[in-house]
Parts: sequence; C-alpha cells; structure tokens
Amino acid sequence: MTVMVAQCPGEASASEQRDAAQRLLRLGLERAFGVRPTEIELERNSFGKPRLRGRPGVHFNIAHCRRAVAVLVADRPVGVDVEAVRGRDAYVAARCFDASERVRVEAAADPDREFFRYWTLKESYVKALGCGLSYPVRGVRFVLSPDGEPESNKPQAGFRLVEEFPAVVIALCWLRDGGRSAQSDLVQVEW
Amino acid sequence: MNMLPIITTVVREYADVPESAINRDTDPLRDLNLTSYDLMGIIGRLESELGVSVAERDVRHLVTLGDLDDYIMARVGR
Repeated sequence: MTVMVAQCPGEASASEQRDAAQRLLRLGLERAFGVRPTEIELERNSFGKPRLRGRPGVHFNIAHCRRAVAVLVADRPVGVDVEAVRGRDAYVAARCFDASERVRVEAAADPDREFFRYWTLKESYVKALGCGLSYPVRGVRFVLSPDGEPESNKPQAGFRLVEEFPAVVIALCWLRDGGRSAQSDLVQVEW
Repeated sequence: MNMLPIITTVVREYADVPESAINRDTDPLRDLNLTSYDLMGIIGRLESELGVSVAERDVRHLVTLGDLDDYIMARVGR
C-alpha cells in the first residue's frame, strides 16, 4: 500500500482540497501501478465510493480536511481518513463511540488527538467497506495498544495510524485477503 | 410547525454560512462542504436537544435538511 499525504500550510478551501486530492491520486496510481493520468477513468459503486473503471485489482481511497489530503492506493480494498486535531465533539462521541472508548479518550494524555484516532479508525473501516454513512460505527470498536497499534473487533480488517503529522491524524484500513499482511509506504508530497 | 429553524441553528455551528444559505433543499455534505464527522455531530446534537433517536441505517437516506426535518418531525413526542 502507498499512502500519499500533502499537508496544507494554512487552511485549504474545498476546491483546493479536491484539486490536491486529484493530484495525489494521479501520483499514487502512477507510482504504485503505473497507471498514467490519461488512463484514469473513474466510476462509483452504489454507495458512491469511487473506483477505477476496468482495473479491478487497483484500489484507492481519498480523504481530505482543511489541513491535509491523503490518498491510499493498494491491491486490496482500502479506506483512509484524515482529520485535523481540534476540540473533540461530545455529541459525536456519544453517538459513535462505545462507553469504554469514551473512557479511554478522556483518560488519554491528549484527549483531542486520542478522540480523532478513534474517529478516523472507525471512518477508515467504513470507507474500506465502501458503504458510507449507513454503517453503524459504534459497533466498530478499537483499543490502542501502548505502542499505538490499533486492535479492533473486525478481524477481516487491518488498521494503522499515521502519526507523523502533529496537526492531523490519519488512519488506514485494509480488508484482509487470505491473511496477507500489508506494508505501507508513506510518501509526503508538497502542497 | 417544523424543526428547520432549530436544525439551521445547529448546522450553522458547524458551517460558516449565513442563515439565508440554508433551506430545506440544502445538502450539508454537498452544499456546505461538511464532512460525515460534522454530520454525526449535528445529528447527535439534535438527538440530545430534541429527544429523538436517529437510527444509523437511516442516516444515508437523510440527504437534505428537509429530509432530516421530516424524519425528526415524525418522531418528536413519540
């Protein structure tokens, strides 16, 4: 898997986020699969998840926020989410986190960053499945080990947090294919 | 009676837009550049303030704020 990340020096508008995401997708597909920009033809599944027409072995997912854009390219279904670390939303926690996750967030050294670790992990799983907002994310539960490795109740999926960027949290999810492990390369791209 | 004024107030806490930019046809993800994270916060806040419950399986069908208004109105006071 290759995760392409571009950090915005300020706060990016919606159109700037989309432009950066398209650029990273072109770079990522060419780097990982040799797909040239002129060969990229996108289509969407019934839940709106984009995919590459005619290339069933090529998977990707895109995430953006005002501070960064991330694109994950892989040979299996994947999901990525990125969120700027900011004040945590108690209503999101109440709706989407189970009680033990809420306790662990509040007990963390940096509760806001911990909150967005859990949120982005849940969102990355839903995005890997490609079923959008219809999935009950409270049922996707995580425990973060002392070294930061996410452990979940979804054995069919693997997860990783990208912690290289202080301003944002990035979570990666891949659906396991016959137990194959997944290596991920992080490529930082200029905004 | 409808809940759109309350919904609009909550949405404006997540989207920096004037009240005039919000109506029943507004799609918060498409028109206001909100994310699924923002939408979960908005729904959670409305659940808390209005005493209703929005099932997760129904969220993807609530595309516009009018859809959300109709959904809440059908459940308020149940």
